[in-house]
Amino acid sequence: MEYDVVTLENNKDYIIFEALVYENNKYLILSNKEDNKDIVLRKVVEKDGKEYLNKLDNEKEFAEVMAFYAEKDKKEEENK
Amino acid sequence: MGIYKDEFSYVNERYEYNKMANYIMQKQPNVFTIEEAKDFAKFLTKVRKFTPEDIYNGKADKEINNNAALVNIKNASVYNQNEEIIDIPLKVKKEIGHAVVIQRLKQLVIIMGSTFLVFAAAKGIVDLVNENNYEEEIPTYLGALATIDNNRNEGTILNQNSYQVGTDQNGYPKFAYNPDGIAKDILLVSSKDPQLFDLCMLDVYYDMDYDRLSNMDTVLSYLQIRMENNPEFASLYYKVEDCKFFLDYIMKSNFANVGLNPDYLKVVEAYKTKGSFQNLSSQDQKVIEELMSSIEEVKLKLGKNLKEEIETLVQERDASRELSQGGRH
Repeated sequence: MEYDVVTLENNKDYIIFEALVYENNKYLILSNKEDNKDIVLRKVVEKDGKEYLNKLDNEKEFAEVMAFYAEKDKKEEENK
Repeated sequence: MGIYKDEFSYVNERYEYNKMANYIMQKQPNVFTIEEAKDFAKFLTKVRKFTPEDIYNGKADKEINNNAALVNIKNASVYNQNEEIIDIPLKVKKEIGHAVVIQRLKQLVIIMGSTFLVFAAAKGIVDLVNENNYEEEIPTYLGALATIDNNRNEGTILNQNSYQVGTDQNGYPKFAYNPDGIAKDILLVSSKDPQLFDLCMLDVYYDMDYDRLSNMDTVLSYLQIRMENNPEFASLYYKVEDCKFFLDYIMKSNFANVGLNPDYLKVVEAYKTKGSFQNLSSQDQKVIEELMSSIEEVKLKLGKNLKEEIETLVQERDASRELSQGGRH
């Protein structure tokens, strides 16, 4: 199976296993290729026409995106 | 308060929360701060309905472990206060791997995504509650949220300024409620679903610690001011006075009619006069504890029919007013 990988600020490779759009922002859920317990969420930020990965601004944003993901996945499972 | 079993009374809850927090921190070392562990203990008892014994016997271990995993993800995903913002260019590489790895990760996140976040309160309770039976759950959530915050933005719960948190002389968290913040929270919840208004009001009233009697009038005043200034809440405005009427009815006017001992009123009045639970005699403190336990029963009894109760009371009040006004003409 082919999957997408990005390199983060710690120079480690992370697999993109979910891309989300929540309130007009794009988020990626990533897992360390070497350690699947190392999971992080990153926001895709556009600057000068280029896309960058940033951490989230606050816990509220994190909680909202995670809850959105859980709900989205729940609906997808129900529709299967 | 309110949802504890008899053996987990209000008086010893601080001790129990510390004990539960220590258990959580031993179970998941180096993840939670002591305050986060206490918050989580409150969630486990108030929302998930675990008793302290359940927790000590390991029945909540799965939730503790899931939440710890989620906290770790959060810590790796959110900027901390002093952290420099780094823009990492998004460059995607294609690689080949096993599908089973992706599936395992997905399952892990799904499990954690549906676990409560100790820091999720800022999201607002409505979305959390929507996944449950809100009529039953929302008072519990409000109760939990009212005591959950310790170290985040001086009491941010549903929005800024909701509750101010300090520390008492013994180092325990002290929850001083900001009536304006509570009013905002009630409107936040109620505007999403007006049917929740009664339950929110009633529950806030009961969950305002021992300050409830002196603070509730202020909360109601703030509510009225906010509603007057915001057309969005016009549909709720009329309920405030009715709600106040109902609460006054329960707490001040006629305890016997809702199954409470009328003698309690004297103790409550003494509490109001002395201004502090600690200043009451030990006998009166017991009465207050019993009263709080009874209030929970009354709330359960009246919660489902609250609307009808209020409507009847309002009708009686209006009839009384008409009679009074008629007499003046």
